[in-house]
Amino acid sequence: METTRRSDPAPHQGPPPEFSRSAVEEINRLKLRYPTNRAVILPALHIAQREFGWISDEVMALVADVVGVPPMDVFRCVGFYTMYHRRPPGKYDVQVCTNISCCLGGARKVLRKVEEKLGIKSGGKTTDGMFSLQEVECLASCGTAPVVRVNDDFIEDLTPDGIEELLEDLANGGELREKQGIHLRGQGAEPVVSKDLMSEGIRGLEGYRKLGGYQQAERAIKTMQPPDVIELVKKSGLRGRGGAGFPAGMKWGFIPKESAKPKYLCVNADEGEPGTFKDREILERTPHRMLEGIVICCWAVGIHTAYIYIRGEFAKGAVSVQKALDEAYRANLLGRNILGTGFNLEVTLHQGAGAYICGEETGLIESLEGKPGQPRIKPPFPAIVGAFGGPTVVNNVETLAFLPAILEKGPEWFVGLGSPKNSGTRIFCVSGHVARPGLYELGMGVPLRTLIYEHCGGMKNANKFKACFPGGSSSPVLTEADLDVRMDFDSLAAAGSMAGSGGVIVVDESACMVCVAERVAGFYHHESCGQCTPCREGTGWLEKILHRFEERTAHKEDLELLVNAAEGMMGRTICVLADAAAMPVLSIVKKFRKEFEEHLSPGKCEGWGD
Amino acid sequence: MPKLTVDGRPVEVEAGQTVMNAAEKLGIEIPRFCYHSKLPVAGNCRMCLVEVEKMPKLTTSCTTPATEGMVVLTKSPKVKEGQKAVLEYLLINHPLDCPVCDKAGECDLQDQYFAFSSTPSRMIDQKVHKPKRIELGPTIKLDQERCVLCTRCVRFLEVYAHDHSLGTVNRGDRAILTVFPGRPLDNIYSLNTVDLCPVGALTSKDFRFKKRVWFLKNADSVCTFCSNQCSTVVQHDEGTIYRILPRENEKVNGPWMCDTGRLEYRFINAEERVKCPMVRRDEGQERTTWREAMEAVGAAFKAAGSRAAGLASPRMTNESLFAFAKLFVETLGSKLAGFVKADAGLVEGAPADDFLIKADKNPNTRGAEEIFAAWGVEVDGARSVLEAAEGGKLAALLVMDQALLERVPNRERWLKALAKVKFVAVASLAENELTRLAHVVLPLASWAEEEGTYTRFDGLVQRSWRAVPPRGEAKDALGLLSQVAVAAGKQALPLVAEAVFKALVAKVRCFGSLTYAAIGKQGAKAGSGAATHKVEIVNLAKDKGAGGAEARTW
Ligand SMILES: Cc1cc2nc3c(=O)[nH]c(=O)nc-3n(C[C@H](O)[C@H](O)[C@H](O)COP(=O)(O)O)c2cc1C
Ligand code: SF4
Ligand code: SF4
Ligand code: SF4
Ligand code: FES
Ligand code: FES
Repeated sequence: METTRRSDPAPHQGPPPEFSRSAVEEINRLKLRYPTNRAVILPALHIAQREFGWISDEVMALVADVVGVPPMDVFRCVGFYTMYHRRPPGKYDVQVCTNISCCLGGARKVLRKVEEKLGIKSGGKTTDGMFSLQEVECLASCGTAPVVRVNDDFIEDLTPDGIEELLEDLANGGELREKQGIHLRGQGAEPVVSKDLMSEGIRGLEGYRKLGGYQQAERAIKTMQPPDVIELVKKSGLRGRGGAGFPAGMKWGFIPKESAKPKYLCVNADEGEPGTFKDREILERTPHRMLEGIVICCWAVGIHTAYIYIRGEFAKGAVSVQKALDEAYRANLLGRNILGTGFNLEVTLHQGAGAYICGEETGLIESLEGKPGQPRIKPPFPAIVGAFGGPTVVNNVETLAFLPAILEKGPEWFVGLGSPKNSGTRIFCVSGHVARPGLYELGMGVPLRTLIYEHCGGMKNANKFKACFPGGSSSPVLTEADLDVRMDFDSLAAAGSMAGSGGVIVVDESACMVCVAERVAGFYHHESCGQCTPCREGTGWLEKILHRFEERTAHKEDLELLVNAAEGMMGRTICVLADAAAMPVLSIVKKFRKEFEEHLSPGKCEGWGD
Repeated sequence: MPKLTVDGRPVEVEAGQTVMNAAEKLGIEIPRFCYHSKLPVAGNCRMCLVEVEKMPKLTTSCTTPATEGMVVLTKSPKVKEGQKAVLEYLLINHPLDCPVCDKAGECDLQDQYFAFSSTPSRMIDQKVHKPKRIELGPTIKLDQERCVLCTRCVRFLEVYAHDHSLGTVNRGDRAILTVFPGRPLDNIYSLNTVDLCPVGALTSKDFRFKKRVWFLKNADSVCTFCSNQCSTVVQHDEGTIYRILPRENEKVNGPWMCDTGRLEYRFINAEERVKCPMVRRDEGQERTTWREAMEAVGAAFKAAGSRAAGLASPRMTNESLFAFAKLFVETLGSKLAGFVKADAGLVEGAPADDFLIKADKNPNTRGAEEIFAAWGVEVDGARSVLEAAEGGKLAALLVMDQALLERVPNRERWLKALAKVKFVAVASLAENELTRLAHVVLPLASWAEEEGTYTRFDGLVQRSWRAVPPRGEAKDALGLLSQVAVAAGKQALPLVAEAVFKALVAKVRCFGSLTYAAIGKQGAKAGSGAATHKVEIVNLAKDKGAGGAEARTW
């Protein structure tokens, strides 16, 4: 329930904090990468946390001073983003994901084990200062759930025994090492973005080039006119893989050709939708494919500055992307006068700091500008007024990663890979109760039944299928009756749900839908940016009502209240997070009403089936 | 210029205006918390929902541009249902401390709750609790539970006062309004945020728990603490002033004023006021009656003849300054009169800025100059008075306002010179160095206790109504000056401000043909009435992000 993950700040002790010389230099260098000083707040806070371990009031004031902004601007960011520690964390900061997929995989048991082992609750710290514990939201490892993040490292496919061993090892001075499970599990006849992911050694520039990498970007700049590239992408029917499925070529077409202010590309690498873990894989393992897509997009739209907004938790992804950027700059695939063509493009990696809402495109832009990621009122849309006031394209990592292949093989080929109006393949992120959860790159429109029973090896333990979120936790759930739905944007919309980010969370009969709904509401409650009234107050209310169902203290009238409280939030807010909270809850109440009614009387439910 | 209809009524607005603006133009009230006509749009409260034909969902009127042919409904059942839902969300975590809340009676949330038929709360869960009674700074207390996070206060401070002290911190229902740790809100315009706050989250420390607002009576007034002359309302009950609020006046101050202007009323209520006349005897000053005091004044001024002089203050009303000049020039036949301006550098309080506060801390310098000139009093009259006093040539002096010499650079010289004058009468509100050397001290009414007009630096003439009766035996300046005339054996002067103003208009050319009726509540210029106070409003809904470094989120 109400997990207050932010505690009161600890008082600063000792002499006033001072940045090291190199930190100040780093911050000053960063200022050259952005049009405003304010945009440096988040990176500077990351540097401060690296230097001081946590962010005291004094450190906030110091950051404000060095960046050159009012202290309140820094304070607002520290308060908004969950990754800035307001008190010293333990030597090992243990972050247990308790979002849906992880809970379906047994995260509650893992959490209980950690609590028992360390003798602390979420938000606490062991007296020896070795461990601190936090419950966190989806870490984009849902296919290898449950997952725990210790400091910056992911420990995946955990079991209660596994976590016990790990904690003991760390306590005894063992070394912390990231342990990833297998992410990519399957491909269709013609994989596109995940093509190079099955083989090893493709991460570097050399490996990517061997596969023909950057040839399409070079060809585009040297031989194609920008409008022709846009035309080609329009023809390919490529739709955004970030959530809304908006046609990429059409979006680029909205950008004014002439603009007094610089135009920008913001790459949405904030992957936070529960159940989604594909972008992380691209970022970590094939960043050059995305970079080539960035070059193509920027050439087509006439953009000379791009920012890759990467989720703060993706430490490894950030290292991998930065390495790729360095390689590409060295090879003159980025920077000034790319490959002698006269085309300039600066690409900067920008790390977020823990806020799901920064995946929403205008929240992302606000965050990039150094503010809390509170979505903007639209219109104006980013294509007209976006980052730093300039026309801005926001595209998802996966969307961009499709571009080199589309240029190489042509739009018709791409159209042929999918279903009508839903071109190409996409990476489905399947998690929860299937036999082989993971990433599957398949043609759009693959039936849900095929996805689960053929590609994923059926249900885990051959249990009975109960429900499925087809496009992340924001999508209304499907039931057995919907198993033959085609997994593309239009078919899922017709089925009353949505394809969203491709996060397919499968729930079997062992799990209780009231618990699932409560966790959905809890997530959006935790992530609401707090700007608009219905979402700020409503998400918490939903969670509280659902919690009473879970605890079996709800009354008969509460069912109607729940529906009312959810419906009242919809369509009345600045962004659609409020709808994203209400829709799945409403769908669960509608389709599993019986379970809610059962919770009105004493008894015990299946919980998370663990 | 798009034309649209709102609730069936046609209206035309300028391009770039919103549906809210269009409704306001028709006088149609749409409930709102975050919208304020003088602030950039934030669009966060979601209360101002309206129905627009062909739009599938309700939309917030404060953020929706008005476009040609739009058909807007502000009171349809769908709109009411939407607004009711938003209101319910606003209330679920609201503490509802109305019985002990200073805002009760003038709270938008309370009013809306009432308007929506006050259905009982369906919220049976534990509310979100947040800190209360927070010292935000020297002037304000904050109750974070009552705050509806509309950010009006934040926007006001940032846009008008260039102050980034306030901000919203944290996410979701944990969000709070706050200051940076250890850096209080200390701004000369801070109390405007209390007016702006739609709920009782921000309360003025000066006013907290002093009075329930429904007991307060209003008098329209003018601030006399600098030459900006902000239009104000003096709120009072049973002769005591409780607070001063800005009164909206586009030509002067918009809906704002500074904290000095709000809080300086306190001396009016003060116990230390001079409440009855005093005369100097051998043993110092003694209380006396008006009759006895005026006998002394009369004797002195009769004896003085043309060696009588007077010092006025540019804090006085036009009418009092007129009566003063008339008394000396016409009645007493003395040309030794002048007014003493407080020197900007010596007045405590904020220096001039680009918002309201002006360097000249005398509200009526312009009026004094013009009226004295019309009476043929030399511009540098005060200097002649000073020199005459120094030369021992003055037999009787009347000083209007004991504070006159407190804020002049040559104060010592003045005091030394006045000590040489045979008889000094000081009309005063409080005791000080000057009253101590006076032979007679006459209790004077404050600006809130008298009626009259003031001329702003730009020529705008504003009226101020009497809020409370003069303290004790104090007399307003007109009454006091008339008494002096009578005591000196001359004809009484007119006592009614409006009558004095008529005479003033007849004599002082630059007042044109103004009348009290023409001046009204908003003031008028003898010539044209061009606006002088204009603040640019950036429409953030439109401009958000557009300004690069300057664009801010609310
Ligand atoms: C609450 C919310 C969260 C979102 N999170 C993400 C995200 O993590 N990653 C992403 O690419 N898009 C996300 N989106 C969608 C973006 O707003 C935007 O549509 C997308 O980045 C556009 O890129 P695309 O057209 O390439 O998909 C989110 C949208 C909402 C409303
Ligand atoms: S809907 Fe929620 S997340 Fe979106 S802007 Fe409003 S409060 Fe923020
Ligand atoms: S304190 Fe008042 S004005 Fe400021 S945000 Fe809260 S409710 Fe709005
Ligand atoms: S700005 Fe001047 S006139 Fe206005 S309230 Fe302040 S002191 Fe009074
Ligand atoms: S990583 Fe735990 S739910 Fe996604
Ligand atoms: S008044 Fe329009 S959203 Fe607040």
